[in-house]
Amino acid sequence: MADNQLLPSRSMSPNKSSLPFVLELNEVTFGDPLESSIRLERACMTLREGELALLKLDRSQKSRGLASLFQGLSKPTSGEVRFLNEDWLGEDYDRHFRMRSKIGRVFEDRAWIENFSVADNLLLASRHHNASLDRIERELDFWTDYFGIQEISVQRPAFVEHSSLQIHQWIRAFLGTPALLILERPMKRVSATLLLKFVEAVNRLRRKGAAVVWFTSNESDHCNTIASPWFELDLRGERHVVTNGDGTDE
Amino acid sequence: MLSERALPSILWKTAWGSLVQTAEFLGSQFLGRCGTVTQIFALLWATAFLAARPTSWTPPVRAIFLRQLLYTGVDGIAVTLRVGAAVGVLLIVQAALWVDSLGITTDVIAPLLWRSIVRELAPLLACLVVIGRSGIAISTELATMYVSGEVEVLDAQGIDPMTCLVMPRVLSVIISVFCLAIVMATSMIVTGYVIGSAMNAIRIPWGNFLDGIAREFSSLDLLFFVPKTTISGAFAAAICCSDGLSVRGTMTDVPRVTSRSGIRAMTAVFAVSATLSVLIYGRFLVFKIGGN
Repeated sequence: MADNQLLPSRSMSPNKSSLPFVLELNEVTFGDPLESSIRLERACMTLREGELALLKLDRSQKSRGLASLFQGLSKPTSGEVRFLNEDWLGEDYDRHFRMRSKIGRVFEDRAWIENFSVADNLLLASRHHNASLDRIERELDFWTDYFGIQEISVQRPAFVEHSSLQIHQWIRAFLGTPALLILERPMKRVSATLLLKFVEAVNRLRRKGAAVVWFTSNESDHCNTIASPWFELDLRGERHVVTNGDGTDE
Repeated sequence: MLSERALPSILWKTAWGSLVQTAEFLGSQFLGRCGTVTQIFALLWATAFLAARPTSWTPPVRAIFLRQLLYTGVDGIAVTLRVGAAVGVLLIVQAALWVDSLGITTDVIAPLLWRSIVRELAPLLACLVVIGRSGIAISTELATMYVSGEVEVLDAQGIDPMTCLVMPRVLSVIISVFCLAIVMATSMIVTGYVIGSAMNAIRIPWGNFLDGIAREFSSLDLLFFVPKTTISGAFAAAICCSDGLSVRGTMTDVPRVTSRSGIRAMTAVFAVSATLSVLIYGRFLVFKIGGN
């Protein structure tokens, strides 16, 4: 069993039991012995439509492994991860790819296909999944206006300034109204003055039904404008048992 | 001290141990090769399956396919023409030597040249040009993408790396090798005629020369040309993609993997070419002068 058992440290979660699950972790054990990895032991967490989980990490901890676990890209040592009531097991890769197409993700690092322009990168997934071009263009116009971007860069990512790239990454994650948003330290490399705007954008997607997992190691990300329901989970330190992510004790 | 009686026993044990070790080494090498070949066939099967599925051809996949075709096929024309011209000169010089030393006529030597170009040299050299220009580049690109996490980025967005990265590249290489082999053969023949005429080794007009080639052309040539270009190209592309995506570790591992990939692809092309020759001709001596 775990060295310590963590419950949500803070939550603002009204009774949302009627809403469908988006992400479920059932008795998941995960993580390698590296100091920088997040280690879970028999962790359980549920995230419903519109909920936000703020996962607090130490600065040294990498979120990529756990984020990939949520997307079925990494396998847990034991336990089960479910997304929209479907598991990531088996070899039906087409189903897995379809499931992943409903997830928007802001990567902490290594987020771009370097051979493509930023514009191509932004539209790559939408076009690959045959999303309506009209709808994508409307959404793109909306988000570029919202974040005050003059135009989508047609340079390759290596030639675009880091803060601008990060905002482009937000837009890429928001396109197509995802069912789950995975945000790996999304405020990294951008001005803190954009936090309120970013949180409002996330809230907007949550009102449309998106569940959100937000990895952070910055206390200032705990913004008062995060709409409820949301909860915090502290994943700093040793192995963790995370129970009942919906904010109630087990 | 070893007794004289114990010595044969020790020698026997040592010899037996060496034998077992050798057998283990050979066995592991054999199984490793079998695994590699299986992996390549699996990759080719997956490519064929994905290419035949209309839903795979999304706009980004089409764009990647066309871009690869442009780089491998169209941009490779110039170097193919140069290589073809150089080899054409070498061939015609050799042909002139044979004509002089053996006292045979151009009519005898022409079919041999034509068949060696169309059935063997052009497909093989086109494959080598494509491996040198694009195969190693593909391997490097995929290995770099893998190590730098770009393949995971694709995967995370619900984009199958096999559909988006491997399938369009393998198909582009197959088509490019086929087309460049035609360019190569044309370049060899035209240069051969020009140089042969200048050396007075060929004394017939261009029209007659072309008529001669047309007469020599048989459906059997296609039987050699099409499989040699497509199968060799497919193997070369599959090896480069497979090696590129099998890289593990850091960016410093990329050059090691990609140089190995180039050598393996070239070895495979020679092996495939030789195997097809043996299979199609049904004999080990592939050239039969004056016959089919």
